[in-house]
Amino acid sequence: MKRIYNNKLFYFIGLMVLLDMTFSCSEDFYESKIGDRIFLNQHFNNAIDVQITYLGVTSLLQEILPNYILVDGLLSDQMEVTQSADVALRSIYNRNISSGNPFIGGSGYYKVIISANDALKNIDQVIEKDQDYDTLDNRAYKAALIAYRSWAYFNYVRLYGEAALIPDEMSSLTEISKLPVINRVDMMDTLINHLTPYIHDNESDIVELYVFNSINNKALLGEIYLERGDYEKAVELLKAAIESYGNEARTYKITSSFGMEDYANIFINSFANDNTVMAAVPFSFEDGQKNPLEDYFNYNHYYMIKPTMNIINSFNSQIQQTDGIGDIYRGKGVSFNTVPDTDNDEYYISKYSLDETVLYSADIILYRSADIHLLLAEALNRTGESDLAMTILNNGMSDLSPRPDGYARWSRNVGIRGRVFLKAQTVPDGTADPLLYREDLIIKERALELAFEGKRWFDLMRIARRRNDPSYLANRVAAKYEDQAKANQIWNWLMNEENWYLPIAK
Amino acid sequence: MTKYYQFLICISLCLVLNIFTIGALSQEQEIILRGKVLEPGTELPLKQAIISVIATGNIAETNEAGEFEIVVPDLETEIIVNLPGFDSRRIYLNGKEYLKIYLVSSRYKSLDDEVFLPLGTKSRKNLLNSVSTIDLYDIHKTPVTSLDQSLQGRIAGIYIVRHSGFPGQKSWLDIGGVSSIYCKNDPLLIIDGMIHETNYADYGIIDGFSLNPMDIIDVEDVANISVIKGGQSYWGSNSSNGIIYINSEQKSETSSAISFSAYGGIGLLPAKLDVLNAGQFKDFFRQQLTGAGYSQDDVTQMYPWLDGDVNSEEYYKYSNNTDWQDELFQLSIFQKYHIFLKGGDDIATYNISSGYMKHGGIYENASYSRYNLRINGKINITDRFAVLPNVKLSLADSYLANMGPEESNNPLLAALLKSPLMSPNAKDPVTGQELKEVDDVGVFNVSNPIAIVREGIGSNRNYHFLSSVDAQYRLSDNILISSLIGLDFNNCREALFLPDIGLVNQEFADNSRHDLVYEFRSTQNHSKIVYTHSIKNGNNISAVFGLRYLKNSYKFDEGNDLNTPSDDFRNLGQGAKYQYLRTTIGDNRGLVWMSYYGVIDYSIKDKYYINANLSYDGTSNLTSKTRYNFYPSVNLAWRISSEEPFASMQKLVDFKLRASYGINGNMHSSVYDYSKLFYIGRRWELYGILLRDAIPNPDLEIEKKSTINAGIDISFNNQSTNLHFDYYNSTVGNLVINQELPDEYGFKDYYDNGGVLNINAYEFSFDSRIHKSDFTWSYGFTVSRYESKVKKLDFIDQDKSQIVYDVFGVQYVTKKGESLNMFYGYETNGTYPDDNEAASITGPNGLPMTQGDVRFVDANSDNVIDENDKAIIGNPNPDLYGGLFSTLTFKKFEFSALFTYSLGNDIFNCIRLKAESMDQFYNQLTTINDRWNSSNTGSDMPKAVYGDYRGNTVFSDRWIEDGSYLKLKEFTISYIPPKFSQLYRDLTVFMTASNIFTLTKYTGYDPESFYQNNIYYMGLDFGKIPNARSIIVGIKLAL
Repeated sequence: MKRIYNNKLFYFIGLMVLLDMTFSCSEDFYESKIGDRIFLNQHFNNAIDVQITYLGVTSLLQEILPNYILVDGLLSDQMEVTQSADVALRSIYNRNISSGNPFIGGSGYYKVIISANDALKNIDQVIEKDQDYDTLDNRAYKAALIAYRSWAYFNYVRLYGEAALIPDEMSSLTEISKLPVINRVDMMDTLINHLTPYIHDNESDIVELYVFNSINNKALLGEIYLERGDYEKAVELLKAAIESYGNEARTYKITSSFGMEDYANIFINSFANDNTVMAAVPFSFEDGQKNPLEDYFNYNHYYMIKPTMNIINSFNSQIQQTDGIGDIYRGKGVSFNTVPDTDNDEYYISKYSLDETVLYSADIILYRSADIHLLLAEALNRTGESDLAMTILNNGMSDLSPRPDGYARWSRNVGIRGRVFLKAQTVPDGTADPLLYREDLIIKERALELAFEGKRWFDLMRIARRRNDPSYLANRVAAKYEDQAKANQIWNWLMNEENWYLPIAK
Repeated sequence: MTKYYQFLICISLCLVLNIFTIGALSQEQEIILRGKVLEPGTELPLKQAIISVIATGNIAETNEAGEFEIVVPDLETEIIVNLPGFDSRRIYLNGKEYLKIYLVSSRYKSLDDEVFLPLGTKSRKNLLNSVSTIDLYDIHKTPVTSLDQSLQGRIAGIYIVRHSGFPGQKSWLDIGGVSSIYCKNDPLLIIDGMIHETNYADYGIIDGFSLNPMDIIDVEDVANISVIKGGQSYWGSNSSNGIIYINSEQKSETSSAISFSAYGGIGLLPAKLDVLNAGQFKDFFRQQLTGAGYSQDDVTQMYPWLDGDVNSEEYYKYSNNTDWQDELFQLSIFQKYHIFLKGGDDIATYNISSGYMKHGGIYENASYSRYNLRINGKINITDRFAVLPNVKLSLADSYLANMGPEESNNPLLAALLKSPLMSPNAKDPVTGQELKEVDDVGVFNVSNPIAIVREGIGSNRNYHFLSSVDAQYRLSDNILISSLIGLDFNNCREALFLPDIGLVNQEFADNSRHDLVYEFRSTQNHSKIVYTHSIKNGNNISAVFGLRYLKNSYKFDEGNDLNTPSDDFRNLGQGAKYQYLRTTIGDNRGLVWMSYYGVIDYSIKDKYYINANLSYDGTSNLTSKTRYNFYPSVNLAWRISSEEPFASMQKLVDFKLRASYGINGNMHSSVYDYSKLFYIGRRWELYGILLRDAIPNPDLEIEKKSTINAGIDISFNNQSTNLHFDYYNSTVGNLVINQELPDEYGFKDYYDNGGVLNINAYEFSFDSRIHKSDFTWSYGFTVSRYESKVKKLDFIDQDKSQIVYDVFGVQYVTKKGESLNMFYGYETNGTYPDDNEAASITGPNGLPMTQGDVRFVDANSDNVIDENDKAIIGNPNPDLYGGLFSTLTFKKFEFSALFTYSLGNDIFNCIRLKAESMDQFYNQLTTINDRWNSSNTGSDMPKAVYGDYRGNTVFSDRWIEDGSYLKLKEFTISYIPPKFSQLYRDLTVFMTASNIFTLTKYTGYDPESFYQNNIYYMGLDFGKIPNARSIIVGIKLAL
């Protein structure tokens, strides 16, 4: 047995022990490639990491927005189902929505929230690591991330009534029951607290950093204030939003640049139209990021959803400045169109199929200046500045002399209706409540200007709540059902405000 | 090549040192052992058998009467009996002074066969755990194209389903049942000491095709195959599904030798399915047009040829009676050549073998050809130090079309669905003469199967290289040190072109081109120290300590292009229209595994055996938190036949009880990535972006399978009858499942160890041999069964109780108390005879049903057919499977047959779904002639509904069929002609018929079909190339 202890064996055992020590104890030994993914320790090292992470968060809205628009249209009075609609869409239209409905899942909103939390937690360290990234950049990116997160929370609570407040970035599974759930009103307070520290003061000297494709924090906060009924603050913030980035006359003002025939170009490559489009979510079919709306809307595809006659009639009854009939620049040919070979009585929504050179790739606009202008008009109407509100709605300030105080840089503003050559709306003499009448005009204008863009259902809920009158909403929505019994049933259902919310999938 | 020589080479390799002892045993007194050596069956004495006593080295030889006498130190020692042509026997005297020794011819299985195991050889009688082997003779007897086929039916416990009848195609393999959802289910394959990965080949672009990684070694180069089914934890996290251990043939004699074999043959046409002929189709088409809303006038106007209007423009195009299956299928030609050279001397030996085979396909342009080269040898540098190089190379070219669920490009489906009114080639509209070009899609909107295979075909060109060098140093008589370093390399180029002409367009693509290149690389090292020691009185001990290292990388690049200017342009980059829809995909993955293990074997007096293993390993797949794991196993065996009263029973040669317990891990899965927080990269407009993809689970652990195995081995009648029975009870702990999280978590997919699976498996094998002077008949069978049951499924979402998974519209459910992945859908109960009953039911598509629609079972009686009515409607796992085999040798003739069977497995017959759906203008099976109509209200076949908007064709038990079968897989007649020349040593001629008949109720082409190597495709038949009958004639010649 002595031979066991000969030198060669020792060498061999020694070699094995050495292998053991050098390899398996070291974590690097087990580093191996895993394709298209990187781990936390490889990430958040420089400004580029911050940018691509931020864009990653914004890209998640691709998952949310198509359904958001479908649900908005079907719940409101703008869309109805066609014969070929599937069971899930039909059940939304018929207000018979189960929580398993594939169009109403809310996970996309939380994905934005968690991803934003993840980025917010980690980007501070980049200041130390990359000298091209300073605290000012960091503040701008944080503002942008918080805006997207707040957008997700705000829209979630408006649709579902309550939301879980996600405290962290979910680097492991937090028990769901430990997450605080808060309602719509409390959520708005929370979001005001989140957003307010990141609102840029236009009056101050510090230059406002532009983060690519960010949601304008001022616009979002203004919208929240408007929803909450704080009109003074809403006016302040919405106006500030329109006057962002140095208050250039062409930036975010409703000017003639997308006027008349050019109006349709807002919806073609919206992502790049950054004078009027404030934030948009691009889709590109070739990258496997298909905008499915074309499938649902276009008669060439599944054609499951069509515009209601209500919205079509509304477009067609507009009066042009030359007294011609019809909203020719926003209506037929832009927002909707007739299905060929159907004797002009079948319509389809064409807003997402305007660019025929690319398929399934229409961008979805999140915020554009017309939206903010009309929200501002709505708020101004409530603060008593009704003339200003009507100016924004109608022909703008370019012809006004002098322009109202604080609106000096609005020299190119042609107004929402002025841009598309429509006759100004006026309040007839003897109207019982001119304030409400003007508000109705503004909301009606929003329906046309922002048709099929995911705004209408929220407008109806906001006004009905403000007026404490569910019939405001119920009347309008019930009107789209041809079957009177069905219309009555829906009307009754909608008279209960609790029924406005979507069920939360458990 | 005989077992005898293998045995000798094993001694020379010194892999097993049982036969070496520490010499100095003193002889105290002389005891004489007497005995007689006989051939079993015939009882003829065997002369010139060599008897040697291990302890002393004494040698004796048997005389003409087969008798011998030899001096032994005591009666507790071991002797070895050798005779060329017979298996050497090693006998422990166990106190006996007189022995009657039967030697078994080396072409039959015997207790003294050397069984090759990863840590060395053991004689079969000394095995402690469940190991099955295939007789070398059986492997080489029949001309199978790949190794997995030679295992099928012959080895108990291993479930093998050939993916298709295409020769270069992979098979589904599992041992004793499916044990994981996300990890690997196939056994670990070890070829000449190298771990040979198999699952990288599963990704491809030819739909339904994955290359067979076993083709690295030609069947004729294989010397032995052992299938190890339990108790071997020294492979740690690599081997929870058992091990297939393969060794190529080594040189076993010093004289040079050449052997040559060749065969040729034909594959016959598969049995056709009955589809409508032209007349029947016309009637059906008319009815469908009515269903689609066309009036009689419309039809006459649109399709004047339908009424036989000879003058109509397309009369000749649509007035044929084509049997598309006849047009598509063709006889295929097989050929194969193999040459084997060996030579060398005491210093160095070499073996070179090379082979070429080409199998034609069952349709035009399909073929499989393969070139194999193998070189191995042994170089004795000193008498203690030897180096064994080993190189294998294979080049395989496969040409075939898609075999997936898309009738637009799967020629078999297209041939069933294409209208018989059309013809393969276009016709001159005026004269009706057949033109050269293939015909187009036509009004029925079905691809022309001839166009698919003639104008566009997929190719897979695979270059495979497996090499290793094993250095062995004998430190002393007891200690062997060895280290093996090797490389496994696979490079594959796959291409597919789908032409415009004759094919239904894919979305946006008139034609399309797809290319895939992948490379797999594995570098490995295996070093070990083996210590063996024979203690006096037949007690042996051996110990192994070893280290294994494995580093794999896999990389693929894929490009897809579309709309080239014409079908003549077939390369990537030539796409024109919609070129922004070109896609490029790539991936790159790696794996590092490091393992230490120790094994101790101890045997006492040929009666009691104990073996203990322990391994400790780490893998890069997991986080450092769960990376390192211990895997123990213990094996015990007790040879009862060495105890009285059994020891004195002459008939009972061996009766052994075995028991083992072991734990193994299953590390092969990308799901483990989810244990870490990661970000994925993506393109978004002009930007590269990073995204969170999941909520990580830092506690995710490796799946562990612990198995209790109990087995019995019985051998009697001089080893002519053998029985083996094994029972396994396995528990898969940490079963990884996908938790669908509530919305609040944002990310839906979350993987955790929420499941526990229990598998009970039984296997039984029997073989027996009757040996009379002129003939020998051997026969046997294997029976295997497994039952798996999910013991635990813990859901984070309390409302969930099952996992439902959808693949191509087929749903599988996994729930507690059932097997993994049961078919999940609606049950049906005939059709509705009238509207009264039907109208109250809302069907699966949300519309009220009508008379003649399928009557789905409304399980909860709410008059709505929806998710809540779904039930388990089938189980893709078999109840019993195995094989039957028989060989009759009469003088120079030999007849052998192999049957395989599988009982009780269900198959989703997608062919029938498409060919009985009656929802389009597709041709259909003749079974639809019996469909519901007002005068045939009792039929189970629903009425034809164009568009099927009420959902008669949704996934239901209508499409689930019993896939049980019994197949005569091979029947071989071989003959050794009288020797007519001294120029050769041996000559055998043979004829083999394969897949001669299949007894089954299954109505598709072949019940043996597997879409892709993933448990979610178990039991799916989308119309793959069937295993067709074939006849092959060949010779084997040894010089």
